[in-house]
Amino acid sequence: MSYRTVLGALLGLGTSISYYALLSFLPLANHIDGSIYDSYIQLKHQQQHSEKIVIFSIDTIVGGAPQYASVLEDLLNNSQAEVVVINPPQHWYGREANENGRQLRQLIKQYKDRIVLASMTAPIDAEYQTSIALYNYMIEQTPIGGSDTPEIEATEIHGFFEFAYQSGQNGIFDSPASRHSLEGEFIRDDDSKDISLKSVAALALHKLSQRTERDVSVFHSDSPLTSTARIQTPIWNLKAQIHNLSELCGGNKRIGDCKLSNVERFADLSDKFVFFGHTDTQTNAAEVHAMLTPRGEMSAVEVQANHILGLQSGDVYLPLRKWLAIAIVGVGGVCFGIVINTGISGLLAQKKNHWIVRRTLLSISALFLIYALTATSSLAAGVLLPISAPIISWAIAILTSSFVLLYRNQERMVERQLSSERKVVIDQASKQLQSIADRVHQDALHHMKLAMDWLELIQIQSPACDVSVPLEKMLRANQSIRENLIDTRLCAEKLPISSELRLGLHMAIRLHTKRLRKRDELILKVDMNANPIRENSSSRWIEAREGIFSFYRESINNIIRHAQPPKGRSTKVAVDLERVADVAVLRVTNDGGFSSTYLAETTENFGTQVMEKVASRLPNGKFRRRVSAKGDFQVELSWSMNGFM
Amino acid sequence: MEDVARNNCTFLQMIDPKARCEIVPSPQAAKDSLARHIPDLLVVDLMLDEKGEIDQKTSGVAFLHYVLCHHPHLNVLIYSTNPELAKQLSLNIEKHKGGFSIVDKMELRTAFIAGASTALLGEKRTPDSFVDAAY
Repeated sequence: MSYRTVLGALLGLGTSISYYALLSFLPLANHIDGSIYDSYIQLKHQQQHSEKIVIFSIDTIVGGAPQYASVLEDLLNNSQAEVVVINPPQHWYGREANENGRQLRQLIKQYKDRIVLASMTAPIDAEYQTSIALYNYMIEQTPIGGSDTPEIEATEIHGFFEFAYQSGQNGIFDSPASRHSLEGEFIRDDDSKDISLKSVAALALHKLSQRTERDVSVFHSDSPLTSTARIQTPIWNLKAQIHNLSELCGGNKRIGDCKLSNVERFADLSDKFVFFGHTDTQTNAAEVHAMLTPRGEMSAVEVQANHILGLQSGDVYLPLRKWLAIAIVGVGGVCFGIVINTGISGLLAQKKNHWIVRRTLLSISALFLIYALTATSSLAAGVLLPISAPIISWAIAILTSSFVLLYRNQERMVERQLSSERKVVIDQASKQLQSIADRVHQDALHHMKLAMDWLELIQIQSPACDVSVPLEKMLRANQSIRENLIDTRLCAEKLPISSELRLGLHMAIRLHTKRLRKRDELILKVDMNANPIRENSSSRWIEAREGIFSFYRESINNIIRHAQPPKGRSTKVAVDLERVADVAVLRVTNDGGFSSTYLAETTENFGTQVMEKVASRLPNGKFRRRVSAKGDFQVELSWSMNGFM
Repeated sequence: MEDVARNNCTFLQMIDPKARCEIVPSPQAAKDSLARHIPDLLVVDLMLDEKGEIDQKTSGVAFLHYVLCHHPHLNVLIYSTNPELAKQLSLNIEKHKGGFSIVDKMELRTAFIAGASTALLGEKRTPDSFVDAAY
């Protein structure tokens, strides 16, 4: 895989996940996805056999707790209601010490396996625990050891119901009526202790399954890929299941004597869920806890009934776990990154490859289509795949990646253009200088030589004729021209950057050494440790690098000439190039090549002067030569890389 | 260039008036000539003015390399305005068994005659700065 493909993939991965994380904080994606899910689910689940639900509206009842207890007792005992969900009216509160509550407590104690008390709470939040109020006055207390102890555990009888007041169309998609939890951790209002409760629907179904030994599938859907933290179930219109208790009891607001088991359709309520609570927003707005649903405004009692119906029928939609959603976005980002990179390359290729561009557009469309199909089929299978957030993230990632890759490519093209123009100019200048030097050599010096020959022949043929003065002058002129020509040639050779150095100093050293070994000029064993030294592209460094490279060539040449057999006794040479902080060091070490006497003799020679000159031109440049006790000979050049910033 | 070569002959005849000179215009012609007979002395200009050669310096040095490899006993006189070019063959020059001297073309002819005599005697003489160029 090429560097550019990896760059494209990383760019796609990084941008898509970043944008996905950003979108997770915004409600927009949730609203779009909620709208899609709700539309699909409501379309798919148009009709529901809701005969298992019976809702008794208590909107116009003014009776006290004992009267309710009497009606409930009749339904549980005579009509054999399967489970009764009670949404206690507010006026029941404060009956703890009241004898009126005793009948209710006795009822709950007797039928605890068939009664669920709905406790309202705010929607469960992953960040913090929500507080919950419990109906302690409905639980009989037994004095044990001087303090009252409840005869029934709160968790056995209480089911939580998430309620949130919403307004406007957008509220539907965040409504706990659509997306609700089955279990939750709360803080009790009474003693501030933690309590773990099931939802009203989950507890009702749990009681049903315990009593009838039937299983409710959703409780076991503990898949590693999906989460049960917030499930979605369909919402049906259950208005037909609502019965006004007051009307049923002959318009009597006191219902204590009302026997619903005598009414034919309520005579047998076995296998049915019975709900008690306020449903009419007109008369009891505060008690109804009306919520926005895809089927319009509904009372909390109706929503609870809907949740039970959804869970019981198995029409449950589970969201994907967060890590899996992020992984999908990441994989998609990588795919889009690679596709975009290929497309941009095709677009910028010298001969524009329109097929690659077309193929890229097709691939992008295909990837989006595949995801849309996957999301749809997942929805049909009951899994809620995030839709809008990944698609928006990918779309922005495609734009960002395209922009970055285009910009980077453009920058590189300009750089390449400038570099090739510079190279042409330098090569041209170098060739011109060489050509001038050669012409002077071939022409001016040639004629000068002929003139000198002519004068020398005259001198030989006519010794009386003294031509020493013109000859002397010509020799001086020659010397001067020659020196200038040498300088010109050196200048011409230095103008272009050594081809090996284009890859960096470490590569130049490696390549030069390899070449010397290939040509059998260097026959010693080489221990090569030339490492990259984070070079920059400043003109000062490029110029200095030429000098450092010539230093290396000089050092290795010395070893070949004076340390390598047959002249020397050396067997190996070590080359080290490294950078520590801002100091770079080049070391060339050979074993047993030179003696300290030789070192003393050679301090003033030409090679040493060249090396010292290279060192003197570098920032903090230092040139050292040392012979170890073992006789190893080391040449070291160090300099500061910060001087080239 | 041939004018200088002719003058070379004139000055060589000052060492031995019976000396016969053959002037060849290119490295290839010189190789052909060496294949026919081995002279007492080969005078080489490293800056060969060879038509078609991209680099004059390369062709002269390449020819010298050929001579040192194929004619190890030949007496050679390098007579060039740029004798430094021969530095790169210093190892081959050291191994050469025949006479060998290097003379700067811009020096007086006395140096040329001395260099030619040294080479003809089978001895070696190179500039001081030449052999230990690196150190």
